[in-house]
Amino acid sequence: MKITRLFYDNQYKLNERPSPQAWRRLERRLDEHRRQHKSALYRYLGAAAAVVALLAVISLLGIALDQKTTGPAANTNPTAQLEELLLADADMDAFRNVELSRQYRDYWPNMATEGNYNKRLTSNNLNHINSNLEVSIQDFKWLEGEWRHETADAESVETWKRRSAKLIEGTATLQAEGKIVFTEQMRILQSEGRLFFEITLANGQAPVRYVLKQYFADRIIFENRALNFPQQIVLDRHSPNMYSFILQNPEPFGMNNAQINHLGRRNVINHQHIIRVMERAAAF
Amino acid sequence: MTQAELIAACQQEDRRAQQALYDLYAPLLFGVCKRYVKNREDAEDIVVEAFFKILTNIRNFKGEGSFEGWMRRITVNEALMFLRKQHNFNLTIEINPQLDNDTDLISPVDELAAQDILNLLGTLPTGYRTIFNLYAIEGFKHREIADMLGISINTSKSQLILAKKRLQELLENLQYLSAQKGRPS
Repeated sequence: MKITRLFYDNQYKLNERPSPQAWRRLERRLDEHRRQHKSALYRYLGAAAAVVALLAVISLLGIALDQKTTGPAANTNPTAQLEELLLADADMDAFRNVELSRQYRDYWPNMATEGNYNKRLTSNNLNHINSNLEVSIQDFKWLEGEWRHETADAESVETWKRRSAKLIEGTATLQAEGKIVFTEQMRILQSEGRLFFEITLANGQAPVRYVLKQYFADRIIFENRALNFPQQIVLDRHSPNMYSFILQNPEPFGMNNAQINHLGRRNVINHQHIIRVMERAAAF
Repeated sequence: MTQAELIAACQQEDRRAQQALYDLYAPLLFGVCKRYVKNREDAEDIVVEAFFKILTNIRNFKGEGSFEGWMRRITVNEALMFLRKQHNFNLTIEINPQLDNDTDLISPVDELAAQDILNLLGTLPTGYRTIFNLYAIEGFKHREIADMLGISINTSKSQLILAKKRLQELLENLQYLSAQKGRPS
């Protein structure tokens, strides 16, 4: 029998109940955790109650002031009808970005993803991200085509095309008022047995390369810890026709105003995540 | 109570359900921890921490995969974090031309007692033991192990080969000792 198989088959023999003290220690920690949560909840409720009280006072003051208003203007304007609030298409875009940002914020506390017992372990802790040895350029075939992301005054367009078995190229542009205001070239390439995401900005700087750290069908992470920001590029697939392009750091990062102004033109900025949601416009 | 009911009760922070879950799975997860560290007290520290993470994050389990696998993954993560605090895993590659071929060595024995498993793994240096556990029992690939431990792929491969060689030598001694004990006086 092979050595690895021998240990694998006999591992169950190590199963053993820990000492009774172990449960008592765990119980104390759970009790402490529950206490901390309750006091956090009370603080939150207290703050919420204070806000409600303040709003009530402001409303009452407003009503009182309204009653005091006299003069020709007070009776000439018809009572405004309450508008039924509907989400417009532009609002839906912002709503989607905010919702996705919230999901990413909630995603990180997860300890591990679920999966088959016999498959490899995965961890959501960004300090130990797993990669997939069998990933190739073919696994990025879904990117091919044209993608768009529209905001109120600008449009991002990405066009991806596979050039060879080891290279897929993309061009990203930001268009505003009919003009291209920003361009960058992107490549996903296979080199020396590894996969990289490479970005080249139009200002002549050298390309920046990120190595593939994790590949799942719906979440792909490239990483370069040597950079200030972003250290990670994440491609999140929501459907065959929608994905999020995310720039982020594993740890909190403070951006300067220049970075915020530049990135905010075509992305939603939320904490340390820079997100733009791309929708497929056309496939090649 | 079914597993789904037990999980649902734990998600409501029902203490009896939490204890029932612990009673059910602590032996398995404690066994996992014992493979990674040399002493029992450290293994208990890890399993307590793992269960704390499991029970305080159980609301994140959506029921779409194996619950046991989910808990096991959390436990292995906790074991690695424990080891990482003690070791920086700056493992050096031992230069040995025979390491080019990574063949799975054959064991001279077919069965192992629990204490033998612990003794054999316990004699391995931390790096060998960790990589052997992750590769042979948890099923990780070398690239994944390299990423998790902050080492190179070559280091992971060479450490695994050296671990298997060491284990084979120990198993051969074990077989010899077992044969000695069986001899009539």
